[in-house]
Amino acid sequence: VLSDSEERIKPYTLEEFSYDYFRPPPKHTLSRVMITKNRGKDKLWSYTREPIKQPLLKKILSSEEVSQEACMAFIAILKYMGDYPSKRTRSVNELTDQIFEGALKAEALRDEIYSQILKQLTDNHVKYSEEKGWELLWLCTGLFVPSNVLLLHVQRFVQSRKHHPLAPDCLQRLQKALRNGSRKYPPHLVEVEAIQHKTTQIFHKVYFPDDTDEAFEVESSTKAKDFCQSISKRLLLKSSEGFSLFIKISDKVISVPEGDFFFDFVRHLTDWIKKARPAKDGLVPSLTYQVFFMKKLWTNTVPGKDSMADSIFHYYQELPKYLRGYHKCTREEVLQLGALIYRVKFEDDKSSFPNIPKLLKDLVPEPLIRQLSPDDWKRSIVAYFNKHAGKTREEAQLAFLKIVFRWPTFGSAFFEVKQTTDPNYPELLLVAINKHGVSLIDRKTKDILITHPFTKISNWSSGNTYFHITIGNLVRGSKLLCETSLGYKMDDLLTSYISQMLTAMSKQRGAKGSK
Amino acid sequence: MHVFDYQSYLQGFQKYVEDFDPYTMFSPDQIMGKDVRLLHIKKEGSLDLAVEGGINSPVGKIVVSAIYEGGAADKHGGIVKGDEIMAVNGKILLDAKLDEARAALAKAWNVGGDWIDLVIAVCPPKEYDDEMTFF
Repeated sequence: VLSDSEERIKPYTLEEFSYDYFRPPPKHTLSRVMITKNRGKDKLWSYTREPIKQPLLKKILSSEEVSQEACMAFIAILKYMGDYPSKRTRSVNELTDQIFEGALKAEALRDEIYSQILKQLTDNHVKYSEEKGWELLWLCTGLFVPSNVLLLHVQRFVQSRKHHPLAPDCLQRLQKALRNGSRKYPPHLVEVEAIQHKTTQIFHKVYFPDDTDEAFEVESSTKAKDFCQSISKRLLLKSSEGFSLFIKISDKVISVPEGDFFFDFVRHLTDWIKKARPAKDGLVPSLTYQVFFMKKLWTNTVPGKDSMADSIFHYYQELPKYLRGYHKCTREEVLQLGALIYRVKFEDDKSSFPNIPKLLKDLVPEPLIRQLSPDDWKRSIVAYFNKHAGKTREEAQLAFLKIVFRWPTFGSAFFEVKQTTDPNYPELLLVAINKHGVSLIDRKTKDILITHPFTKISNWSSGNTYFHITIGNLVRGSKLLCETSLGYKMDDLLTSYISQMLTAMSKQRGAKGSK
Repeated sequence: MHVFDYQSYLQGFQKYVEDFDPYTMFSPDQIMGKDVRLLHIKKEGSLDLAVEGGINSPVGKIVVSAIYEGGAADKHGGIVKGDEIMAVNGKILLDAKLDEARAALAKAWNVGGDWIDLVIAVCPPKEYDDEMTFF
């Protein structure tokens, strides 16, 4: 007879749950029990090495398709746990994809997957298999939660196995999944690799425009917005507004939508690139990616308001745009800025003065370099440099930003395009997207030909080869078609600026309404 | 009528069918200012060519949106993202909607014959930087 305390620590199983929610045992079971006494194998809620021919849960029995998917997922679970023969898998997440993909698409399968994993963790005396089962439970709790009916049983199951190193983490992940909602894509390679190496903490390198990088912890439940906030906090930024994560993969740099789970987005992106570059001779193409954190929307950026943002982001993001020659500026400004850039690079050290002619492409906008001789540039830049005596690197960065801030093209993303719709404008154009809207700029003179404010843009679309906007209404509107490979970025920026504007407007309206 | 130069094609010396005369298929204003070429692609594996646009779209024509690595279009060469597809196996696509063009391409690839004929208007080389963006 078991004592009370022993009774209490006896690991909880799905036995009770199974009476109400599992499919009924096959009819012949009772008679067989009499003959074989081999009852352990017939407990539907405990470990088996036999593939199931029907789902565990009664509620999905009626759908042939879902039932089949449940049985396939179970075989993948058996394979993952080493309980079923399988070939060496091609990628780390091949089996986990098979296990979780169905449940992510069809909510009805989520309880089934939880039940299957818990079943395989019940009375499992194969050490290897049990450990792999815990990995699956850990991954599962990071993706979605069971229904209210099953949730309590899952929690009691894990709580009664607190001695297992992953148990506390699984409970915590359940809480986070309850709060943040379900993921859309199966576990990312990084998540599967982490748990297989017995680590529940995942660190991700993030790159910054000032050429530095830092590692940040990312969880299965981390959304882009949370990620941005933890980076902003660590870098001591005053606000994360306008900042975004970007993923650089193959030849694309794509911004991560705030509400997306970080791992979902990366997963989605790599799957998409994989489709565009199918595996050759069974070789999976390299899908390495880098994560960047940058300013994306410059709506409320005012130099001097946030010194860390100025020195890590604003200066280093505006500098290359300036050096490409995207802005219209006076000779006076170019000399000032050249001297300030020198000061940011070398501070008060004058020993690099003789190198200025060689450094011109780092100091002067590329299209203007030929306007003066290298020595004339040097002489003038040195003269301006001496006017800033005593300025620190940060002060020089801020002084640079304050000059650039005066231009209507400050805080823009620039695109070189070919337009074919409007004969009044040159074919080759520079398009700037910033807080003022979409501006068309003459490539040679840098004159702004027209600015279409966001409020006037009624429609936009993009493809792999083009970007298109409609200005005004259908009757009296005009259209602009641009030939470009960067339509996806223009589209995203326009969408983001406009949605930011709409949010701000509705907030204002809300504030007025409450008065 | 045009005659394919099969011999030199088989030897792999040319990407385009040399003696193709676009005026046999199109009116002068349909091809005005365009560099129109005929591609004769052997059906091996999949074509792996994606298109976008269509008569109802902003671009108003069928444009190659991607050539996937290792596919028949990629192996053949001579066709890149941005090229316009004007006809497939003699069927003119100038007024085609996107799904019509996709269907015509799939049909031409899957039904009959060992080759597919694509008439394309070559996208001129880009005179602008189409790769970099600074945010």
